[in-house]
Amino acid sequence: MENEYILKIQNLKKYFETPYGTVRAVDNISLKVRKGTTMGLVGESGSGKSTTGHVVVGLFPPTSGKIFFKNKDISVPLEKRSKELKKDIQMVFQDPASSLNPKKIIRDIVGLPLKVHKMVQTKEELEEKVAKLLEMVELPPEDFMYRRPVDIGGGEKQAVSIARAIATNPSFVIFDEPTSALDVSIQAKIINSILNIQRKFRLTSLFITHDLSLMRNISSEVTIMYLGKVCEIAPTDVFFQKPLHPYTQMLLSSVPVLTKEEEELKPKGIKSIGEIGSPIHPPSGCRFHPRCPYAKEICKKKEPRLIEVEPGHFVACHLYAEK
Amino acid sequence: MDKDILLEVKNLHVGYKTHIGISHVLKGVHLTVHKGERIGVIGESGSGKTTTMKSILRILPSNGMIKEGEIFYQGENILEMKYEELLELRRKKISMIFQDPTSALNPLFKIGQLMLDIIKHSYNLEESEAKEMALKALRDAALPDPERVFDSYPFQLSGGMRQRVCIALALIGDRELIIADEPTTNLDVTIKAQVLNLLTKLVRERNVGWIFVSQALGAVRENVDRVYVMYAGNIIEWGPTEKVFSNPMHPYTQKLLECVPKLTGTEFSKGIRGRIPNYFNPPSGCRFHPRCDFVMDECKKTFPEPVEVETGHFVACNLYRRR
Repeated sequence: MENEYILKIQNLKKYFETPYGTVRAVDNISLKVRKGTTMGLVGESGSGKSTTGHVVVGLFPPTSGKIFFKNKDISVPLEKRSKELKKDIQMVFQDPASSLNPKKIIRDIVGLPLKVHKMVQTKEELEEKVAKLLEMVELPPEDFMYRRPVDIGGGEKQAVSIARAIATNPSFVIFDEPTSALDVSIQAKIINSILNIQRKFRLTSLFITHDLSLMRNISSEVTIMYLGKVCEIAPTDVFFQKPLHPYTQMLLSSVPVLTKEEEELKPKGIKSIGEIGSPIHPPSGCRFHPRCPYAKEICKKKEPRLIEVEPGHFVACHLYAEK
Repeated sequence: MDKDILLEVKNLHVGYKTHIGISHVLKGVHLTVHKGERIGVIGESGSGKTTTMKSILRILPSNGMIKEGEIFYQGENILEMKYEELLELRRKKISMIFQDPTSALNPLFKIGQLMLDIIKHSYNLEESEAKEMALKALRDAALPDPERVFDSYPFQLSGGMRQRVCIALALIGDRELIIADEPTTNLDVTIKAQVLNLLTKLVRERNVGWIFVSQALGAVRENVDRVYVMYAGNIIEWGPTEKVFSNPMHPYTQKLLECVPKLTGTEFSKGIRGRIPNYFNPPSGCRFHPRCDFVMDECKKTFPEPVEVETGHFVACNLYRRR
């Protein structure tokens, strides 16, 4: 049962029409998430990582491609998803301030999904459940239950969002940069409660972030995205020992670190150059080629396929294609 | 002191008047920058880093008040300067790079116009000479195609390029001190690395003093000679970068460093309990005492005198006083 895939994304595309042209936010990606694991989705702004999360949770219907959740096709618009399915997939957003209703008290915010899914009957039952949820994210219920989002700090707001996301007892949660707006000391607290909850509920999750060091500490597998494409997929340990794609190496070498041991993990001999291209007119061939120090003629013409170089380690780069 | 002192901040107390009372933010901040020295100031949001920097240039908002203290720039007290002297100082000696390059550049003017205005005003130059100087500054900031940038509006440039323009502006002429307040916080990981490399390179080449203010501890560690740690309006620890990072003494510094996720994926920290104090009614004595695991009675009464624990490495904590 360990190897069962709970989420399968196949050839997913999500395009947005704008007055300037079509934005190819997510362009033909495939990935699978095993039950009970955390898939880290890493990329810079414009890489399509958040869009992928939004499509999975149902905020946008996919332009083409399929998403299977527990072997059921869920690539349908949100209105057509069953209530049961919405209950099973939840999301925590990046900005806690704008994802909580400022007019409501915390009890009602966390309690809303419980009411919608008819998981509680009476007011007492609701308060009891909300109190339990708040305890899980280390907010003392008696202090927080009746306060409003404006009265609490950023970290506490994010804890409330997490409590709301797990209220319906989902099996899959998408975390979209949940700590990027927070200070490091607060981030550590939030990540700890996420880790505890994941362990307790055997939760499967998709963790979207741009912070590779954070990714190292929470995910079991890593997917690297660049301009709407997947560059590399690998188990976390392998990924940090042996990053293959030049973009991944560039990304890793750009991470500022605190200790000498960490410095040894950073790939040498690659320097960050250039800027991320436009998703409206992406570069031809491999989308990373204008910034790649190893770019060859073929990289400008042909798009590399994602190939498995060792078990579980996939990379989309011509450097590894001929081997 | 073997090297010449460029800037010296002594016992700075700054507060803000608000409609609910006075918030006592800075409480005795001190800082020394030698000629050509690179200084880092680290701390979480709300620790008073920006307030300190704004006090140096005297650009605090109108409700900010400097209650006590002295700021010497090459022996002259900035706080006692007349307006004209202050303008001269800002135009030619000290410049500042802000966090958000988008709001630092006036959107209604082309980059060239912005630069020409500043140069002509500061140096009384002819249009053609000023343009030459502006283009040189853009070229030095490693902007591809400086002529095009010169003729562009800020919105036509990417975030990374805008920040490079701000760097170019900050380094025009013979500056002696550059204050960079979180210059890379809003940028992507790979772009962050590029911009920081550029800044360090320019600062080194021209031998100007540099104050690098940031929450990104790793970035500070990799780029400065000496580092100051701020907590709640106090400098609590300072010293040579390598010593502070490899051998942190203050309980807050130790916890803060633990909170940063590591690429090596070691055990994740639990965070720091509590949160940054309320400045309207800050804790007595050492402001960290309500969150400190080693708190003693005397911590609640008096702010600890700094102790030199190793050459040049000072810590303001009662734990080290009795040695």
